[in-house]
Amino acid sequence: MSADFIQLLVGGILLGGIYGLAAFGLSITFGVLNILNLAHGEFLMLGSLLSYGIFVGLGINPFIAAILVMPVFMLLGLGFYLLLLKPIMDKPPHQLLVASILVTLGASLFIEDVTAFFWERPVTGISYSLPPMELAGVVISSTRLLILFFIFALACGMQLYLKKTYVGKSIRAIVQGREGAKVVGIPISRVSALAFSIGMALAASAGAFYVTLFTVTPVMGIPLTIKYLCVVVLGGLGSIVGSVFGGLILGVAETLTAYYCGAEWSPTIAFILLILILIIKPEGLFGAKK
Amino acid sequence: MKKRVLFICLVSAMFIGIPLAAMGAPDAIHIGATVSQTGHFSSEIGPFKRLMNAWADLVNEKGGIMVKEYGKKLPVKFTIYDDRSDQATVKKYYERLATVDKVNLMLGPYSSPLTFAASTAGENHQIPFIAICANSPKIYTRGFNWLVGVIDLGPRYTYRYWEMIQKEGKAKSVSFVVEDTIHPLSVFKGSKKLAEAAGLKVLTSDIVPAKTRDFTPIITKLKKENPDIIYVSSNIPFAINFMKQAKEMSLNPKEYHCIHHSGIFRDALGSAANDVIGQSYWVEGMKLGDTQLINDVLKRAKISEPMYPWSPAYVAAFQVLQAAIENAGTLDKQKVMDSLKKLKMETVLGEEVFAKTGYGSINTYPSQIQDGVYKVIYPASVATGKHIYPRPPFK
Amino acid sequence: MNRRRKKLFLLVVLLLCAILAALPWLGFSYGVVWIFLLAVYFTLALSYDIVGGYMGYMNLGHSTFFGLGAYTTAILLNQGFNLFAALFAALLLAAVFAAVVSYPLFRLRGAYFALATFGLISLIEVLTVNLRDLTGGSGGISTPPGNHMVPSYYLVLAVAGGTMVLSHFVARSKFGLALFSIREDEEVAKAFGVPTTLYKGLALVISSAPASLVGGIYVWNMTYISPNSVFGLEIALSPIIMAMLGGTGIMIGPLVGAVFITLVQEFLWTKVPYFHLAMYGTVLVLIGLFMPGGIVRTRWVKPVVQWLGLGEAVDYFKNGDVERIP
Repeated sequence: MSADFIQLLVGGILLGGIYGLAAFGLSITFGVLNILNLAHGEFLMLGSLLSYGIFVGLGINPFIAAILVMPVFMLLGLGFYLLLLKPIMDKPPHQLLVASILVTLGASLFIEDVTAFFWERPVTGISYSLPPMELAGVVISSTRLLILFFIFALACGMQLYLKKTYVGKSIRAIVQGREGAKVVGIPISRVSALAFSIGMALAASAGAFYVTLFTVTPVMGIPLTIKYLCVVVLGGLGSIVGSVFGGLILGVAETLTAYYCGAEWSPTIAFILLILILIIKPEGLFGAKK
Repeated sequence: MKKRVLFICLVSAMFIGIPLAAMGAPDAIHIGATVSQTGHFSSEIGPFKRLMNAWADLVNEKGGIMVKEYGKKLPVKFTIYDDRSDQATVKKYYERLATVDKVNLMLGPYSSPLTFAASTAGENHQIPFIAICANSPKIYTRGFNWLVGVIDLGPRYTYRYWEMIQKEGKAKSVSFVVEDTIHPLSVFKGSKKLAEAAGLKVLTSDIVPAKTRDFTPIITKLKKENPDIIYVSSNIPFAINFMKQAKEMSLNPKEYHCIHHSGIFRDALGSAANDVIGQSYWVEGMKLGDTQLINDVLKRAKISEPMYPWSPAYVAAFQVLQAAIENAGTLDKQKVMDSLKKLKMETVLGEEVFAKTGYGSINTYPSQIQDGVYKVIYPASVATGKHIYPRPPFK
Repeated sequence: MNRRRKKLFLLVVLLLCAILAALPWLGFSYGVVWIFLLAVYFTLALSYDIVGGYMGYMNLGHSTFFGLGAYTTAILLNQGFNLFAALFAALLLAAVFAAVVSYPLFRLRGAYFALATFGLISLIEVLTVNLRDLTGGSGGISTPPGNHMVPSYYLVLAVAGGTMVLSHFVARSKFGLALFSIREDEEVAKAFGVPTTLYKGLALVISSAPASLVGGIYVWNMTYISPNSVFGLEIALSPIIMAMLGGTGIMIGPLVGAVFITLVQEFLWTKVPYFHLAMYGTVLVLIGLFMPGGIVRTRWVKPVVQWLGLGEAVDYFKNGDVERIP
């Protein structure tokens, strides 16, 4: 295998780590609530802005910021759920889909507009970077490698949480079958609220890394949400392992396509993978069959 | 009975009075425009409503613009709508400005695609239309009679840079990384020809989707090719992401050129932005005409030029507008349009004269970020610094 | 009493049509542009609703047909074809496209279907940008210049009217009944012998027709489009929001929604200096929370709509108005 291919593979894996991190929270919320939350990207964006503020104002390293923002956004996520999502959760499926799109889209536009008004800078990015590592002619970005480790650590932590704690098991139960969970006596509403808060906290945490690597603007939310939804569907709803793997696969696929077929074709690969997985195994690579 | 008489008198008074009133001077020069306050262009010109109103305030404090026909100065009034960065909306609102608000003149929206749609309103209703941030050649090949544009065409955007490179004769090869959107693409097409004409070998040209955030494949390829100059024709977010990753992957050509590299670029990249060359309309300290007006307007509007590098072009457009009305001596639309076409003046950004098809002559200068300060490096008559070549590698 | 009111209503409708027809000659040219754009969005909303509302499959990618129609028409106009030939080709292309993609897409349901169709727009947009020799790429494509405002105004009104008739007859037909049954419970419909796969594909093809036609008329009028203007978020989501807001699954819903949203947007964007997007978002949230069935299903509006004979087709079938089925 040529050195180029290895470089691409490494690059793809590192990119995939970022995708996985952002998709984490979405996997949980989509799995538990079963609604398309178009506002997910907004929380990521807000997390980015808060991290930027912490970095510039207090000089705190973005890796630490990624942890600091979580409690803030857990509360915000809870508020969002109680105000906007709880009232529509009990509607019949067709109405639920319509209502969820209206509500989350409306909330996204609201958040975008208010943020853009108060945030004077049009584009934001943190100028923080670590020197890259070189290993046998392959350059590895240290920042991205750290992010990958962070995600694995987080993934292990979340997986333990889901498997060992009561709340975690309730979440998995709801993902596998909402009606069944109700029958068993799980407090759906409360667990949903918690799951959503966790999901938003994870989104904001991803935002801290996002603004370190890439630039952030107030209007980036909705396209990002769609992309991460693809990763989540690819990996499987409610599956932490699935999100990570889904992200890795997408990252590698995009990087390889960009190099060998030309950069202009790499956006198509996300969609092609999505369609393939939806046709072959709709519950995702690691998802549970309903 | 008395009420009826009163009513009839009032109505008759209206019918007689209103046409009479209209025969006198208008109470203001009414200018119409849209600004992309929301949507994907909001990051480029979102707050520019303030810019336009700030200039209007400055002009009105001196009484307004002199219109010989009425023998006095008339104040300037803007009507500005939000075009949401959307083509259909922009067409709708320029039609509204033309037919409902009945403006005297129109200023263009941001970007060529929007200007395309907006300028048809000016042409259909015969209202002078001054395009500002729109330099796609396609706009000016439609045979419109009511359109001029303040800035030079896209393909010629960086011609001064290539002049400098050719004169220096040091660089031998160039690779292009192009963001697939209308303006960077247009600049690239022109630059490729200019580079070849300047004697450089074009090694690779990669046209990359606009939303790309990961450049690992491209950078891997460029490391292999090893060009002297890497020319990134793109908008700022694209360029920031590219440069960040170029630094992480230790991509070190002899020179980086990012056509748009204003304050946000520099702030987001920190030391990675050093020695990067880009294009600027104006830099503090330049020996270029009387740039005090730019400072005044920006200060009044509380807009910072490095954050919104298009602001000087708007100021030049305001000057053009004012000069055209003063020269015409009237608000008659045809005469103002003729006056615009014949215009030749010194603006805050240099000489402005319009080609037959309508595009202007204002163009950018190559400027290099040296220790965080923007220095124009060519031509010597306006330069504020010297070209550093080759650049030191990333630390 | 009923008959006289209905006659009055018909008179009002006729008067409206007369005003619309005469609008270009009344010297209110902004109104012509305004109604033109309203009609484009309305037709998109109504054609979306055949799949999204009658059949219950939320096709978030409906604007793909619009964009395909626009680009096909633009390319053919540039080659010298006349407008009607170009529009016909656009119609055909979109229909074939709809038929082809219906096979893989309709294996999905609910939110997955919505997500996949939304992704379809991006795929087609990328193709459009990459095939730049054919489509002009990201720089967009321009058609021969000319002021076609008035003829395109009449054309689009004709298509809008035709779509209303189409939607009305689909809703009152056996085919429509089958679509409703798919929406209510697809497994049961299948068990009752409804050819679901065929009908789903057919519904998608039918919905693609008005969308591609207005796409072609749109580009003929604008004389320039770019990938973002026909495949962007705005044109993708607005018609669907209009349909949802007015009321999906009911013919008059998208009309009410389109008029309401366009009026609200006009007000917000011209009279309110800041935060209009935030206010628009708030309106959406409020509708989503309190009226997700749409305006026409609210307590005050529903009786009026039903009495006018424009209510939900299903209610007619339920009430045993069997003679209404052709």
